[in-house]
Amino acid sequence: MNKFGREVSIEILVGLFMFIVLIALGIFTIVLSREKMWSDSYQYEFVFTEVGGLREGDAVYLRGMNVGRVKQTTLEDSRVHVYVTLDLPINLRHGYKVDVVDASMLGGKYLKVYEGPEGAPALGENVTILGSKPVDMIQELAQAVAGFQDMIDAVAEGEGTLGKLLKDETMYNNMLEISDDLKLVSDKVAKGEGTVGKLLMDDAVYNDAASVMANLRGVSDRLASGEGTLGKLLYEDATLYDNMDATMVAVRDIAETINEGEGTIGKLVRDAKLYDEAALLVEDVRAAVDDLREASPITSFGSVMFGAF
Amino acid sequence: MSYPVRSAERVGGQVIQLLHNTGHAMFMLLEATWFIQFAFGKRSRHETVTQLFVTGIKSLAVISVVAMFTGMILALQTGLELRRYGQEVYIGSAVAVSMIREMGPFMTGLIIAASVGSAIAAQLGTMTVSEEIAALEVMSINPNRFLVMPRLVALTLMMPVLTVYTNILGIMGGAIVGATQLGVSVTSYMNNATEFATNKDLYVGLFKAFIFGIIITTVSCHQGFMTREGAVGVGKATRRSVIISFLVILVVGYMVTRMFYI
Repeated sequence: MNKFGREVSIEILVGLFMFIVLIALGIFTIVLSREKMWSDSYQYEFVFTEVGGLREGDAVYLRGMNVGRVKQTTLEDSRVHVYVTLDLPINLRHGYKVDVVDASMLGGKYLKVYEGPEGAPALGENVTILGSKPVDMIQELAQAVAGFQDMIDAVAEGEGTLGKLLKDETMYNNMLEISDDLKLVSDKVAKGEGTVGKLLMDDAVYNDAASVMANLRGVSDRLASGEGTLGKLLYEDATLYDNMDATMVAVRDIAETINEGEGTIGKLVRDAKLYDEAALLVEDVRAAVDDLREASPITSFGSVMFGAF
Repeated sequence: MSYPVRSAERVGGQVIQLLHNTGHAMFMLLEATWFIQFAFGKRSRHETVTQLFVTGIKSLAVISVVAMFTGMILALQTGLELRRYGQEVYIGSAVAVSMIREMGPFMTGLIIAASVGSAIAAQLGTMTVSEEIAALEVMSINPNRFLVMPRLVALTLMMPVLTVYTNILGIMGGAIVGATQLGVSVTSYMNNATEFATNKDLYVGLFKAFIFGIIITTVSCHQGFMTREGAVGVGKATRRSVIISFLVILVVGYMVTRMFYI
């Protein structure tokens, strides 16, 4: 290759390299600007009392999805106006929320948009969308630490149950007494004294229980083998049942006969005339007996006086 | 003459020499900058294109390896620490921001200072000790126009270009380590990489690279022209050009970062 040709090839190489890198730089610039050059974007304005460090370029999340970026934040009329560019339109309803949220414990913020409850009426056109005041995580943490410090101080000064537990000896003394009492109780139990002690230490209860169980087992065995009346009732043939059934039938017949007023007992139960006569007879008998009782001394005296004759 | 006086004379002489060298370097730079208008003229075009080729294309291999491994090391070191907190997905942003803001221009500057800068110092130093520079002046050829200006154009143009290339390869290296060692998918890595870096980071990095190009050219050419004592002097000039370039790149890199971010 001659000198001219070599020079041209060098120039082509340098030019190609610079051209490629410049294209890469252009792509880099577009990617880092985060502009959606070939898709629609939607502009919204949110108004906050403060934004807690939200910056241009921070992400906007809708239902947990990144849908856009904060384009600009400006101070206007004692409020902060946040202009966002979204990839899709949002339909805010009454009850919507726009929050500035911490991206992580290490810092960073993002906008979290909640569209509002399903079925709620949609916001009208040209309505100012208000954002919530952000929660300052560090301030919240500081308050929590301060509260915790107050609690520690109170405990250190012996206030409250925990403080008294640590500082007041009354509770310790009470605990000591309870401990002594418990020791006494456990000693008694160990010695087999009292009901609990006997239950734990004396075999008699166990033996009685074992004996009862043995007896019950004997009874159940006898029942199972059909011994005794109950056993027969359970396991014998149907004779006893049949007899009892026949008896019950006979008793029912008698009851029906009485109920229908048949026979002497039936008449006694059903016939009012017979009842009245029986009542009169009883009265007569009672009167006769009374007369006889009253006449009895005279009769006796007569018998004694005139018996000799 | 007493020792303190001799010491004071020596220190004073060194200070004066330092000021003289700095002044000489600045005038050389200003003159070369003035001659940039002739960079692609008939007489300088060949030298300018050659220097662009030497600086840009011939450095690609070493820059590729260094850039790729810089990104891989950044991703691995950061990722291993972030994994302790379950946040290894953030290596994308860590590598991208580090490369674009600082490591890209810095690593490119060091490589070019060590390879191209040292070559410039050695070449001009050899020409100086062999009195070729003097011969050029005798022929009324301005060495700053003939030798410095094409190198200045090449380095100031190629440094930002190579920095973009370093950034791309570094981020790719990080993506490879993320995908193979840390379980971070390339998509997730790339999404995260573009999450935090901004155009400001990119262009401040490129501005640094441009400044580093001027520094490397100035230091290397000046050390070449200041070469004395034959072959030994050429070695010294080469070594000094690399050391001074490194130091100035570090200091100026810090100052540019401070200027744009604080």
